[in-house]
Amino acid sequence: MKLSLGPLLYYWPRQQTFDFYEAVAASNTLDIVYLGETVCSRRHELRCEDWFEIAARIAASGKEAVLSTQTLVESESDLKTLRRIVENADFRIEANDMGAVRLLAAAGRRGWVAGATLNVFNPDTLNLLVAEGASRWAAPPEMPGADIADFRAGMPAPIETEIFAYGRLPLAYSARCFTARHHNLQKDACAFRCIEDGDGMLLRTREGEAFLTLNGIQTQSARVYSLLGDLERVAGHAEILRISPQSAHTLEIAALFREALDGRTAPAAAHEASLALLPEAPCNGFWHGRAGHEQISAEDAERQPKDVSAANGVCAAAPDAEAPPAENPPPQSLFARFLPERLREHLEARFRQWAQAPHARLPAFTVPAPIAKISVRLPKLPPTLALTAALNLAPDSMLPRAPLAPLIGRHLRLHVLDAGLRLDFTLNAKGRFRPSRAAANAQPEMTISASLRDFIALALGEEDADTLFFARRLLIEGDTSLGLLVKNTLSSTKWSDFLRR
Amino acid sequence: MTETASRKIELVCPAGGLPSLKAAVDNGADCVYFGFKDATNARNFTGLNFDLDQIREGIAYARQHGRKVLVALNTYPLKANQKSWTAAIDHAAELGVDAAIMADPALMAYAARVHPALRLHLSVQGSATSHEAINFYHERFGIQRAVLPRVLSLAQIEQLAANTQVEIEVFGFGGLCVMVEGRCALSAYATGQSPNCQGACSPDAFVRWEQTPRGMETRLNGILIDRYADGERASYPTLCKGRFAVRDETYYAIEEPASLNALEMLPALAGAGISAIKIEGRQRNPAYVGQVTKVWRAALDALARNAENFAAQDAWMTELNKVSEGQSYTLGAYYRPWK
Repeated sequence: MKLSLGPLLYYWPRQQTFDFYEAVAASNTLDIVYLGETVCSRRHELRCEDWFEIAARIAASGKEAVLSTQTLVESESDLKTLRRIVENADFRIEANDMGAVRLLAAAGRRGWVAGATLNVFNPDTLNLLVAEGASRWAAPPEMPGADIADFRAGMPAPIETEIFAYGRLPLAYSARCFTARHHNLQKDACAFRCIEDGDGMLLRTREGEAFLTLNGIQTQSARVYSLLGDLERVAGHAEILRISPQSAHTLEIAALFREALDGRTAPAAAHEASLALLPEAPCNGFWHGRAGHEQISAEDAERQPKDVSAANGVCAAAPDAEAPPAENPPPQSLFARFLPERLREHLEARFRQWAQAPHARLPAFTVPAPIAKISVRLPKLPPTLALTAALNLAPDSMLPRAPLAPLIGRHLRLHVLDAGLRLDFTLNAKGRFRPSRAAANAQPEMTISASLRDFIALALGEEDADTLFFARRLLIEGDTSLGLLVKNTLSSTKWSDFLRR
Repeated sequence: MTETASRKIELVCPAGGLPSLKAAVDNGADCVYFGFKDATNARNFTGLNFDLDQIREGIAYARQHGRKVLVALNTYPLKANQKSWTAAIDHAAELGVDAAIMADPALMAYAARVHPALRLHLSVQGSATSHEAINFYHERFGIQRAVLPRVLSLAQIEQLAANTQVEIEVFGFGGLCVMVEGRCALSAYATGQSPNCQGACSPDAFVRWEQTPRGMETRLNGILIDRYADGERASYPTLCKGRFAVRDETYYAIEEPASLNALEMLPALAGAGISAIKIEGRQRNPAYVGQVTKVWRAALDALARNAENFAAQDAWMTELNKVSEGQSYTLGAYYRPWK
């Protein structure tokens, strides 16, 4: 198992960078060293020539030097730099963008490295790149170990797999510079402020949790990815483990990896020893198929079933649901039977004019407080029955029941804020809506809240649910998936054919 | 080389379901794009997208009106589930869509080999930001159009378009991704799911909205993304749009919720040589789709009639503002100082 040093992601002063690579050249724990500016083309402490010089020093020390290309290419000047690097036939190249792949193929270069940001998630794609000259694959850091194992089973033999095993995870790239933005500067006049942050700038949530790291145009994890404790699991899945440089202790970390790989230290002990050397708490979620920020202990890893991220593609048509009975009493009479009389009268008075003008938009209105007070005190059942009866009248062609399966047996609520109505309902296994049988004070699993006017406007397609949500006129609480299913269904069903004649 | 704005610029509009598809067609979209109800596309959200019957109906409706239908198959399959993606490509070809929008090279190779008549578009998820990258896909797989990630300035787009024969499609309006599309693992870090493989960013299963004494809190897998005081406008719980603390400041450290709106730049974009404007919003409802399509149709028609005197009308901007995230808009990366 070989150890590689990933490209330096941060912007360090010139001397510090040279000193670092002197120490790297002198060390004997690393086999491969990636070099070059992969994040931001404005950074200039080291130019192309400087990186070539360092590469020569590294090669002279008996290690493999690889020139790594810029991840996000935007301008002609970026392409010029790319071409310069590709022209350097002395060293292997890591391609981090498909433009680099084209240039490498055009130059007839063989043996280049398919970088993690090429998005090679399946071996068929890798095979295409192998045909273009790739001989090593850097797995995307978010790829679970189980998927990497599966991938390797379909890989051509001599291709090496390299796994990101230590460092703040590169997660995203932008045209915008977040470091400059923090200092209220534009990228073009950034004053190269990112040079002040040896490990990037920490970003916390509003309750103080360390969440992400800002590194110029690159966003990283706050937590430090480390597979040191998982080495036994990881060992069979790669030929190379990559260590990404942090501002301190990088070579000590490499030494710990080396000791553990050689069997001189147990991985658990090495992991323990590394904790004091990390700039932030560790995480290893990606390897285990979990959210990246999670830290899964060895015991948990044994206990939990592996969570493969693969999603099943489903193009199957939904099974047919039973159509409700054909007879359709007009909705107005339903409401007449079940709505509080004062509310009904109020609505009819408001709507008389509107109903006579087929193209008029629903007027804004709020249910007056006195009527709302009455509604609140009335038994919940009649308005809820009005709702479920109306829903059940919708034929399956208009309101397909099959996609609503997740709602079966769940306690759902439409909270009509200004009318003081809490309509608790559910869907039964036969596709019929029913008032919910949950206890009077039970918390619903999902609540959608809005004013009466907005619910009606939403149903008529005159308001977009998201517009209402942004304006804080619609709120979804509880199980969001259920809420979005109900919201999308409310919005996308053509109730207007139904409510207006 | 100057390109006149008289080349017809296609208006490409989102369809999250049949009503949206119809709203787009009825309001003048030249093309509508949709996805299947699974992870083969990057808007794999509950209650969204089409099954095979709905697609047949959608295509028939679009054809009746002489419009085109594009299918988004723009996520990355793993080895284990590849067959679902190739099956989707087969369905798309059999259904007779006008083009498939893809990102994964192996899928493009499959389509080019098995369905050579199927027109291929490179998705924004393919993250191609230079003519070198676009030409790579064109030479290997025959893509005829590329959707550009929203990271290039107008000048950079012009440069790119001048160096490729591939048609260029750019986003004109909608929710803005501040990260280069196709290479963002932020959501995977927070939740374990991301657009690339699962077709979802900040998926709803991990979202919680909770009214608390401190305000309405939005959490993603338990991580506090933002907190709204009464009356403060809310936004999508996408994790890059929250407010966070960096050193002593709490602010929109990554992105403020705002929609991209490049309407005022239409003549410049046309002059840069683009072939199509894409509207983002498959997860938005028919009202949004209808409203936005209508405005952009009017704008493109005005451009076609008289490019030199094109001016974005106030009425158009007001309509678009109403459905914008944060009810504000930005020119995004098209305007270099935004970067």
